[in-house]
Amino acid sequence: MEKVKQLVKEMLRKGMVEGVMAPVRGPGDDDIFPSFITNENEADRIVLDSYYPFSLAKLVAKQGDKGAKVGVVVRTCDARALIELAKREQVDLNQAYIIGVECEEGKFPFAWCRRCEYLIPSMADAAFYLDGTVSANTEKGKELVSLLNATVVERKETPKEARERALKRQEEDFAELARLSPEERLRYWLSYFDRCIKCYGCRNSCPICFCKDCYLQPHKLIVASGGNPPDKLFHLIRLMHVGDSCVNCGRCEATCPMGIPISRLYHMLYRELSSAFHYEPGLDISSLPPLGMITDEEMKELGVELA
Amino acid sequence: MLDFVATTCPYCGVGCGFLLVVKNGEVVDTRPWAGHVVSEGRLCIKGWNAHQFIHHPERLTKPLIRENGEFRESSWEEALGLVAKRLTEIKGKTGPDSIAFLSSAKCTNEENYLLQKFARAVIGTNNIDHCARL
Amino acid sequence: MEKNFQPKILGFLCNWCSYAGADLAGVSRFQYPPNIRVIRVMCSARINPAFIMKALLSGIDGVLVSGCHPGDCHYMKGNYYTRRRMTALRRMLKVVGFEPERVRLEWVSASEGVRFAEVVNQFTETIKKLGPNPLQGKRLGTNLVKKT
Repeated sequence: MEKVKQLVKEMLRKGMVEGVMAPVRGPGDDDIFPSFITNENEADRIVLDSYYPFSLAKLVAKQGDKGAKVGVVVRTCDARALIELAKREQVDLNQAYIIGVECEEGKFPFAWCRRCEYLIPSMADAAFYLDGTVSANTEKGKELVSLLNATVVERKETPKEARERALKRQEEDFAELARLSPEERLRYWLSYFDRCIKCYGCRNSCPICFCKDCYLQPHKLIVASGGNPPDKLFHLIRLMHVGDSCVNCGRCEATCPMGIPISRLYHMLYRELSSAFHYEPGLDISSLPPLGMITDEEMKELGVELA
Repeated sequence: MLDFVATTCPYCGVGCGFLLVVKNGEVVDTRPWAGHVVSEGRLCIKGWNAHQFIHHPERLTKPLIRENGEFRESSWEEALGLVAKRLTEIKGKTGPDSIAFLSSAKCTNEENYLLQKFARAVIGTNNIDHCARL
Repeated sequence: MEKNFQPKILGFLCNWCSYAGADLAGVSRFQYPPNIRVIRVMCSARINPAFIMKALLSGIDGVLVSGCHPGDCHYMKGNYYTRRRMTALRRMLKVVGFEPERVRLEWVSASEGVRFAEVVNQFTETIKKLGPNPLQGKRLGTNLVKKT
């Protein structure tokens, strides 16, 4: 993993990029800050063995300069978020070098990390694995890997057993809710939504939420300004907008001051929609989000349900 | 180019910490500070939008003095000099208790201390209050 | 379940096919229950899932969305988007805790007066069996714009 720091230094030395977005050690013991590294010495502060509760993908998309080449050091969830943002034309992947870092199964104590079935960033340009090896997954990745003196391996995917264990943990997490009758489930979620103080933290942290003219702003006349809790529509609208592409990064739940299990709800919906539309967000840039597109095959189907 | 500055929220007394996203010298966004002992990476809506007043076009950047019913720009020396002169006049004419002071939770503890010392020791009145009754 | 439960059903009908079909049903005197309140939209794709969610949050018992048959949409592809959206919406309702059977998508063309009456009949029966909206009587957070 130390090789990541070396790579960042080399990239800066060679002037390949304007800077590298990465999670770095903050002032406190456990602090992790985002940083746009332009100075080689900063690269030593990069933190690679921790969950970071902000989305670097969103920062690149929102604050990045359109013409500048940047590097991004991301965990798998954030790498998937970056691909999703690229599908929505918020990031130009030709200008970004994605450096992915493998996640250790079961290391992070968060519910969403335990449920996650994508441990290996196979969608990144260059992927760094826990055993110290690297792989170049794209042409840009080959450029990056050539700067290093490391054992290069073939591109890896998350091992099947790990995926199955994760799916099992998902079922366990959702089991309590799946058992409830519809009315009980409704009461469960609506009572959680009652806690909401409309801080918009979930929307601000979510990497998939990129709209400048967000539907949930008061001037759209759906969510009233002033007065808490907001209309339940707030959560349901966000659910419909984001649900098909939720990457289960958990930033929403990490930043909710009222402890609403947002990530569980969105992940449950994502599981349903992923089987309905056969869509997995964040893996392949050519597969577009399901609610915004139609295929030629389905134009021949006559039923009311998608086959 | 892109800097992340850790700071404390200027609004209520809880004192949440967050990161200001500074792009080319301008504050554009706020990100939560997960390791902060108070806020733990969570913010209320005021905290999330605390950065918006910094570069707001309607923000005052120079002291203004009202003359003939209209405001005109002035310097700090002129404005403070005018305040000192008028307060001394009023204190001499109608006594220290004819002046009242109102402070705010948006000020730091140190600024609040300074104001009450000014009211009590310099002007000589106890007519001082705070929007949160501090 | 009370025997005299009269559900409130909302119908979003697309102007070119379904609304005309409903009109034909009316003109031909095909009987269907009066529980449905019809809203005409130009195309079924106009329907934002938020409309349906707001209806359910306001206490509506069932929502019927009806459009042109695939291939017949006046705007070429609208009904395909509707189909995707309704699939997503029904799954979302299931996850949150509304019965997905409360929202139904149908294709009714302008000449299918009989079919429209049948669809409404069936749907009203389904909703009667499902019972009233669980939020009935509790207008949960439906303030649209706060009056200041």
